[in-house]
Amino acid sequence: MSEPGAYDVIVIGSGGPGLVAALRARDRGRRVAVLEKTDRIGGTTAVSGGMLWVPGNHHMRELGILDSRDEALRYLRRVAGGQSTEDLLQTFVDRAPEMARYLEARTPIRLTPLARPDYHPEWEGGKPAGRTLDHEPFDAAVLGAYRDRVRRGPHYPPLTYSERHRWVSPEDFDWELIARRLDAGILTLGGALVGGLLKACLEAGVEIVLDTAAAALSRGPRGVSAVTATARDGTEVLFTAARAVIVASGGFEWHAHMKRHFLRGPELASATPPSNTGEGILMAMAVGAALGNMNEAAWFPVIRIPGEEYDGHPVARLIVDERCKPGSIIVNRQGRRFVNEAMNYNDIIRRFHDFDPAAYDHPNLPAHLVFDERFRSRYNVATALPSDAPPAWFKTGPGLDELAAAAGIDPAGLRATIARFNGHAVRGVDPDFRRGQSAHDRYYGDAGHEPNPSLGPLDTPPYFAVEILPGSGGTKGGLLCDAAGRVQDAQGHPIPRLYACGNAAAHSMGMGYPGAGGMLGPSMTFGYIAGDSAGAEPA
Amino acid sequence: MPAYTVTLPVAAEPAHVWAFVNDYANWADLFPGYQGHRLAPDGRSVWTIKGDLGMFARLVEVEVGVIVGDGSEGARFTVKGLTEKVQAEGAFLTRPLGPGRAELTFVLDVRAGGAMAPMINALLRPALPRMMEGFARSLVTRIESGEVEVPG
Repeated sequence: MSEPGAYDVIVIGSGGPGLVAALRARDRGRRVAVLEKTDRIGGTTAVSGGMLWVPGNHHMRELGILDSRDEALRYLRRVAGGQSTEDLLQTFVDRAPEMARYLEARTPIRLTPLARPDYHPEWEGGKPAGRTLDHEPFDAAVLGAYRDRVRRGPHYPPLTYSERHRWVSPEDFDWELIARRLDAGILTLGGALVGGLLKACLEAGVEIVLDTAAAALSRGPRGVSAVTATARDGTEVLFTAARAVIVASGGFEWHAHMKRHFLRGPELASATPPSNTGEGILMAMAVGAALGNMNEAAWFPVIRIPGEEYDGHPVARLIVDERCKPGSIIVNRQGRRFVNEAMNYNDIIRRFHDFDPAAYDHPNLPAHLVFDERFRSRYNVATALPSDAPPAWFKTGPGLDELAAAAGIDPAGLRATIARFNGHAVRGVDPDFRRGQSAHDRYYGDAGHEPNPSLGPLDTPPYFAVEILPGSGGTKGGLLCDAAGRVQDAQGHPIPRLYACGNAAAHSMGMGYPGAGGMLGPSMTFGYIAGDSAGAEPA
Repeated sequence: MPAYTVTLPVAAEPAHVWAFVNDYANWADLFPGYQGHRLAPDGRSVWTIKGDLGMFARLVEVEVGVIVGDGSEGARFTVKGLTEKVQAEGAFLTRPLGPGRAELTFVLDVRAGGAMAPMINALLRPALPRMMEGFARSLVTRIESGEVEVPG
């Protein structure tokens, strides 16, 4: 086994939380290495929207929004659903604004507040805008040899969120601008966050070790002191850590056994890199770590387009516009609606997970998004644009009965559901599920559509259906940590010199999702804290 | 409109090189992302290819038609996307370099269509050279290996 040199702090995983932890530890003058098992940097963060949900952030006033510690905490206690701790929530609210300021002071990242509502803006402490922060575009050319090492994802063209939201349909995107940015290596969203962090890490002297998969932690009398890793050529390498190891290696959504035995319901498709196979959690369990929040994920309703792959695995595409714009509904195989389709992507999956104890199955699986020609010719469905001919992966019928037959839906149920829905939709109401009532639903609807931006009838044949799967943007359960990021053992004691953050840690938001950036904002905050704490460990 | 040309020497008789590339059964499985093909009327064929754009890969069906093949130095072909808005023109050209040596040139000019065309073309620009270089090298290796017998 080779030993590449001694470090003070080893970070396993190069997503945003891992990189900010590395940078923070380096700020304390520590020798820091980041181990990344793939050949690209950024993990889940890089392929994500990259936004940060930060209550009380210093940009909110630019939108005229005021926030307070008390409001944020009242909101988060409800969001977390009893699966977090008061200590974690308070620490997050107190330290997240500091983390956001740090990013702008210490890295090239420039944050912009979005006029995007929390996911429950009407709840006590919820806000109509400002808590979600986006990033200005980042020029990867400044990364030199690492220019093309930031992971690119299949989900988003290089536009900022504000640019994307300016248009009703991707048909209207500025595709020439997108092409220029691709040519120039301009990153946005999660890529911009990773790019900015990577630039700061490289300048600070953090060592980035690619193609090196952590395999085991060594725990001695003073705590965790080393990581055994496997290089791409199969060589075993021992990385010693004089002060601490930080596990930031992502979730377990690509580990079939862990998914099956931990998650509270089916997760049938993941919108994350297939390298998220949970090793960081498993290797920390082997040295005694306790787990928390293991039943949760950042749940996404997704579409799979046959034949699409990312890193050799099927692509799962999060659908938002498709559910929120007027003229679509989601039905189960009985043809019945079962949820407010425009609800936030995390919470909507609870209804996909409904279980019928008599039939012993999930009555809302499979589920289909159903829409008509008027919807199809106005809005996108995943990558199918209105100007495209309907793709072969749309199930199609000239009438509702034919569509029902093509999609395996009960025709009478579908007819009855659409007749009822249409009768209400033309009046802009949904007495069954209150779709279009929340500011959240209306924000993601079509602002030019009256009387309700989220509600419209399905009455223009032909009709279409696409199966919607309960998927995720990463699991949210993992190593149980205290507010300093220290991994706990089964007796509730910290395991000396072992820290965790990101999706490898039990997420501080518990079962909920406070708003866009509700995964990364807290994860980055606890990465920032973990790096600081790890860097302060004595040698 | 991403276009790329790759030219490689081949240690084989020019007539052999031409006979080899003229029958796509000899090399179809080497084409990047090739999944299968079926014959269509009028000498055309429909290919299923897993197109890798770097950010993601997607199965596409394209119709290939040979428009010129004079049997001596090259063949030109057209490609029309059936499941995606994409068109292409290309050619295989051979040139003798001497006894037992030839030069093989592969040309491909791809044009995406539709609203997303600028983005798809931008993704193709770096992907196309990588794909074509790899394909051309594989072709040459197979020709030189003599593992495929060709008429002539």
